[in-house]
Amino acid sequence: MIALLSLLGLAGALVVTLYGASRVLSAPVARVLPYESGMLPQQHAVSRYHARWYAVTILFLAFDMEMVFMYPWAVVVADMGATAVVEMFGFLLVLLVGVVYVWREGALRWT
Amino acid sequence: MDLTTRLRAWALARPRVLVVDPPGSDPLRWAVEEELDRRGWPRAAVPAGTDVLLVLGEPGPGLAAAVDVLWTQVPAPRHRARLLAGAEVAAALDAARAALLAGGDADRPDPEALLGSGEEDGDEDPGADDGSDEDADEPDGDHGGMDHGGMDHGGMEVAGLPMAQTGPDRDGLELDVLAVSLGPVLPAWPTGLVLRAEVQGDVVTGAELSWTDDPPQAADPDPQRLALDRLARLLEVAGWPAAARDARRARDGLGSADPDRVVAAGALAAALTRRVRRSRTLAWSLRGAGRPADEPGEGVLDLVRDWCAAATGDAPPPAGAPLDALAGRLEGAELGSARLLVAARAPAPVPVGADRG
Amino acid sequence: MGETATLADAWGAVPAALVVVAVALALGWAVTATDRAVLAGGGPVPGPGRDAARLLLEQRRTTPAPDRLLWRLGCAGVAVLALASWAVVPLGSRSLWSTSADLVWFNAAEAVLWAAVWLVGWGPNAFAALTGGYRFLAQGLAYELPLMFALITAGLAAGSLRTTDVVAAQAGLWFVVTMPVAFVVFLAAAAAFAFWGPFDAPAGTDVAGGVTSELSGVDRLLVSAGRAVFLGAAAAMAVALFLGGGAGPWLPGPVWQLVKTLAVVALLVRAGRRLPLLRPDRAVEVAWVVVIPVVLLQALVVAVLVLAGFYG
Repeated sequence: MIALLSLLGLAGALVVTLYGASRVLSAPVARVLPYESGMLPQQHAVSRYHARWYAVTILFLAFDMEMVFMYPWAVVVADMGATAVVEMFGFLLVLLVGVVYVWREGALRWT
Repeated sequence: MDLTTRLRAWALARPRVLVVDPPGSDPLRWAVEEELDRRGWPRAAVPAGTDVLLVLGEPGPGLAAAVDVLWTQVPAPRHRARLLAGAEVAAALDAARAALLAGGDADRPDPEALLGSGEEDGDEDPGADDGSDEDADEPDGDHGGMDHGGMDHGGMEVAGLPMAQTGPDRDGLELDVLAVSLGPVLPAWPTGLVLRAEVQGDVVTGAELSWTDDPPQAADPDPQRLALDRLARLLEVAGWPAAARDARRARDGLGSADPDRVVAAGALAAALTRRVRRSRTLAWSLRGAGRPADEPGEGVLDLVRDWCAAATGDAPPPAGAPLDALAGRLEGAELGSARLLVAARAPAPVPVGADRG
Repeated sequence: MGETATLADAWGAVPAALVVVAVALALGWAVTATDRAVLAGGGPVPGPGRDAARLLLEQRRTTPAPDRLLWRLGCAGVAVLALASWAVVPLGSRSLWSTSADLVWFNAAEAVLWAAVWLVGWGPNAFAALTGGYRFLAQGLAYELPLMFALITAGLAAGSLRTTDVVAAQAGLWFVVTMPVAFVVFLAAAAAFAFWGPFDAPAGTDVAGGVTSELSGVDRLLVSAGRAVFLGAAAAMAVALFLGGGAGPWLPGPVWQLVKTLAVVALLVRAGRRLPLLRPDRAVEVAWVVVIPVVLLQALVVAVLVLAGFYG
């Protein structure tokens, strides 16, 4: 744990040092307009961005939860034997049926 | 202090150059790009990554105004230079680097001041010649104009800018509509072209194209070199920088006075176009982009093949699309596809009366 | 702390961390230098070190009404996460930090990167940057699961999620022989999470540099360095998980590991730059319909081999 904290501390120190060096070496922060190809911006860009792939995120969550089981499963397969493999891949098969359904519904394509 | 000076000289040995090429300055830009490649000076994509802002030829008033805006966005150390046709490119670049090291130029207007002035003469600014139905998305006095709901964001103004409005999307949902401009100065984009777009997420829902300025006198560069240049731009937009580099190299080689280089460039162009035509990844990535169901042969992929044919000198370059027709095709396209379409159709400025219909 | 000796046990925590950071930065430098050399195709290129100095001399920028805190957090986050992922990458036969869930740590560092990159895009209140940020999230939906399955496949064969155990388990046979698909998927996913090469869409030319479009000075330095260090970490991890780590005849382990890592970097950069961009909206479909089933099949094959006692 101390090792990890040392690494994170060093990484943090590096970032702080770079910001410090930048402060010493470079001019003060410039206040500029956001880049819009040379035109003046007309509105604030931070709007409610329409992420049209939201359906995929739900599918992703289902699998992501499944990974929580799969990491520990990987360690015990050798001890648990064939049942562990059958159960895990049976479960994955069920999820893959979901993928096929989502794919056929066209939710994996949004443009 | 002397240490800082030496550090600067070492660090800025190869400054990043943002090249602004007004319509008609293609051959000059090619000479500059060749010299930059020879020196290993990277080309900047945006002002944030720029050291030297290099303006070629004589930009019209609209483009010049855009360059002024870009200049305010370049971080120090910075230098702004002009290069006229016929000038010595290498000497100009050396001078620009020397001026960059000398530093100085710290003046920068406040963003609020820029926006304030934009409010007054914004409509005379770049893209002014298309004045018709733009009021709906202009951030002037009356918010929530016309067909935008604008209920929840309408009146808010933060730091001199209004928030996005809302509008119905293609599925009938009420979503934020953001007014943005693409061009006149955008990487791998026909400089001087302005796309005033409305976007919902990354979908272009409204598009209006115009040129910042009246067209220049027609300069007729070699069609094969022109095709290679446009192909390079298209490959750049398609995210294939290594192939774009080869296209530029072939373009530069074809313009050389050395006959050996010309032959080598021809071989490079042939090899490149073969690679591009055969690339399954590119075909897969571009398939369907910008292709209307009723017009086969007009998709981006078909146009890539047309440009390839022109790049080997087997066909004339495809004609640029009229702006109105192109703008119509951009509506409903995803942003990346829209960029590909513009690069593939490669519109070129024609007299203002002609393309407005 | 696990029972395996770590670099921290051997050298003390701070010196060991210093060495790891130095290695990470050096490899990030090598990745950038290789990438630029390949892209320039023989022409002169600006060196990464010189670039870093230039970015330190360059002014930072801020836009009207930015999300300043989150923006800065995102920029620093990319760099810190890249270094953090090195905690579990073995140098020689030991890593800086060793737990029973090393692979999960590596995975987690990369998962938090989603947030960091999106924040870099969100912070400056600019359209190109915002679009780039959302593109990264869409891309994440494509690469994340294949990456996880590739990591798990290696852990499955070793019967452990500890990277040093995975290296030790390859004493007889490198994992790449029985799991070539996982190896390739891992490298492709690495390119995707560093949004580099054919997965460059979040910082693509078509959105004027996307998430990087408003970055200058040290902010730009942190994000570019973070991407390069992540790629280097992934190359080193690929060597540990699939190419037997430091195993090899005649030469000492660390030298072999260095040689293999640089070879993976060269291979990755050359292969990656041969391809055009794979647009996220297309990549998601292929990832779910083709890559995930194939990599799961790979995991199944490895699971059966484990049951058969193939890996001892």
